[in-house]
Amino acid sequence: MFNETGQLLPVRKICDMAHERDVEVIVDGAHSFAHVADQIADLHCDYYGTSLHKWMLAPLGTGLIYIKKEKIKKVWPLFGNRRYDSESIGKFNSIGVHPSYIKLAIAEAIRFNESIGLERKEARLRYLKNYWVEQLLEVPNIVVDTPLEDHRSCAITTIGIKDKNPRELADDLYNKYRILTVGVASKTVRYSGVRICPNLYTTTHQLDLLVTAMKEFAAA
Amino acid sequence: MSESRRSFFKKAAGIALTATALPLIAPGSTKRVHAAAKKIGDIAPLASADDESFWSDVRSAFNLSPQFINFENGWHSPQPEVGVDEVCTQVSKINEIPSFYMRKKLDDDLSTTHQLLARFADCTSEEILITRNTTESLNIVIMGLDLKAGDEAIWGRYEYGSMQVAFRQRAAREGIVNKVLDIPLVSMSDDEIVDAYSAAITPKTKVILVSHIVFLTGQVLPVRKISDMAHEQGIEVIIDGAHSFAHLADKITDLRGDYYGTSLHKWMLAPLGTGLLYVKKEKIKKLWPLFGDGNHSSEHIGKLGHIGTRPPYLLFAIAEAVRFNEAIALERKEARLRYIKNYWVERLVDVPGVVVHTPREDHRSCAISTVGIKDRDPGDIANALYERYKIFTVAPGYPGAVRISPNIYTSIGELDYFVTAIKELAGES
Repeated sequence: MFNETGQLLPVRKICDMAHERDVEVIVDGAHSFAHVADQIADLHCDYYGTSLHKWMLAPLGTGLIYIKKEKIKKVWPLFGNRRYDSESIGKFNSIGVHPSYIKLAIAEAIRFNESIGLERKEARLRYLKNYWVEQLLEVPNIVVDTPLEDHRSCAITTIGIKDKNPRELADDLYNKYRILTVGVASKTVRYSGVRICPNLYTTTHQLDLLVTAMKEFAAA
Repeated sequence: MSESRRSFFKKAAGIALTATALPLIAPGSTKRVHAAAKKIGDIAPLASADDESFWSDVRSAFNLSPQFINFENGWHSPQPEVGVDEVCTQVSKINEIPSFYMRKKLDDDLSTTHQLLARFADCTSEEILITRNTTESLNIVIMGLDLKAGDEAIWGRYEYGSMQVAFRQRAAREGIVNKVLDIPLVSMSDDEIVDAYSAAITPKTKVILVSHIVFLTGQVLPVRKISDMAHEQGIEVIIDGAHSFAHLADKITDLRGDYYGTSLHKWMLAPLGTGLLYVKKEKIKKLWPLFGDGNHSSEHIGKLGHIGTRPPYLLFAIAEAVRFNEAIALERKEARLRYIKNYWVERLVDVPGVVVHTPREDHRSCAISTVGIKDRDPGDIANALYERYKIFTVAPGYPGAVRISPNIYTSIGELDYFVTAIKELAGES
């Protein structure tokens, strides 16, 4: 999932295509893990990395790496390891002392996500997005940067107002409505909107407020 | 010390520690801590090393486990309670506003802690980076050095494993050559040690890695002299300061290394997963970042710190640790730590069957020393100390040696108990 717009890319198909030509694929799953319900292995990638402090709801500073078994041997550890040519993934873990207590909260996050169920979670997140996006799509001056088909996005959508600087829009949303978003303006691609990233705890009432705010700014 | 000075000292120390132990330090009480520390500053550190009243106040600032006596501060130390409280408070606060905090407040807090730490370490802020631990700090350096096949690195076999394997991995991957020194960790003069490093130098030598304090035994190495010798020959020096930072009072820059890495969760009393990297200003440009960076110029130390999101609440506790150490003062702390070591070593060194491996001279060791019992496996001694006496230590791999690393909160009673335990164990062998 693309961090600036929430667009889902067809990584499985890209992996299959690449593998036919012996090209390895690294999938950046920062925004997809525990957000869309796909299993890592179903993506057919060689490498996958994610943070756990985003959709997994684990503490800040936790992440996960997946490496297909047969690929481990040839990857050099970033932090020197005695068994640099080993086939065991542990060779990437000579990273020194980290706060051990936050690992305990990863277990809590697993239980929390399991009790909700990932399919249910994904469906709710997509429902939340559709709930507010559908109310704004036809509003004059609203620009949507994210494809809205179910397989192209889930919780995250980037939306803006024609000719309005995204950062200014984010500031207005925060200053007038106390709605925290982020204006998307990368160095490489110019988007026109703010990234709207609700979560499981978001209420539809809060989304109604967002819709009201965006309508007001779009009319201004 | 005169009686009036002593009572004044006690009073001042009491103020310092009461203020430090408050869960949240208001600016006013922080000022009082420093004012009190300044007032007691005229008492020589050595004169306060045996002031049990002062040090028992220090002890009371820690929430110590009643389950065992902790002589394994060499890995990581308990934080003073004020630091733990600060972490817990910030976990909750930041969790209420996670992305908001990261986007709008983190930079300021990081910068504040960075400046505070730079001041404490007496470095310019352009030369230090907050990392997660020594292994990370020194991997940034070792893996980032601009070395090519055939270039030589010199380091002792007593260096910490994570650093050894970083060099070994570069040898396997890029063909650099490691010259591994095997000098004995016994009483030697500075010149003998420097000569041993010097003798390993060839025209291809590019870098020396040396621990300020050897993790196996607590032996202090003459890193400044090694640095000076190496620099005369155009060779860079990496200092592993894992065990020396905020333990010995030396300033990083006085050691004259080009690179210095340490953890802050050992003697600095900061939370687990905090560290520091120092890189001499003019050396930054040539170092390749371990984590790719596009946000800083090649001469900015920030280019070495692109490590993603980390637990930001730890930053606050680093700040608490700085204030705590400043209130005690590093010279006073070093003197106390050495006093503690000498206290138990002197009572054991002549006991039949007991071996103290670490050189005892003041410039060769401080808090950490090692003890062994003739013909007895050190792992077995460590087990017996824990199982029978509830004294927690470690046998880190030096032949015959159990590493004893007490801390500023250690009481004389605990040391006496330890001495008794070793005497008993030695008597059984």
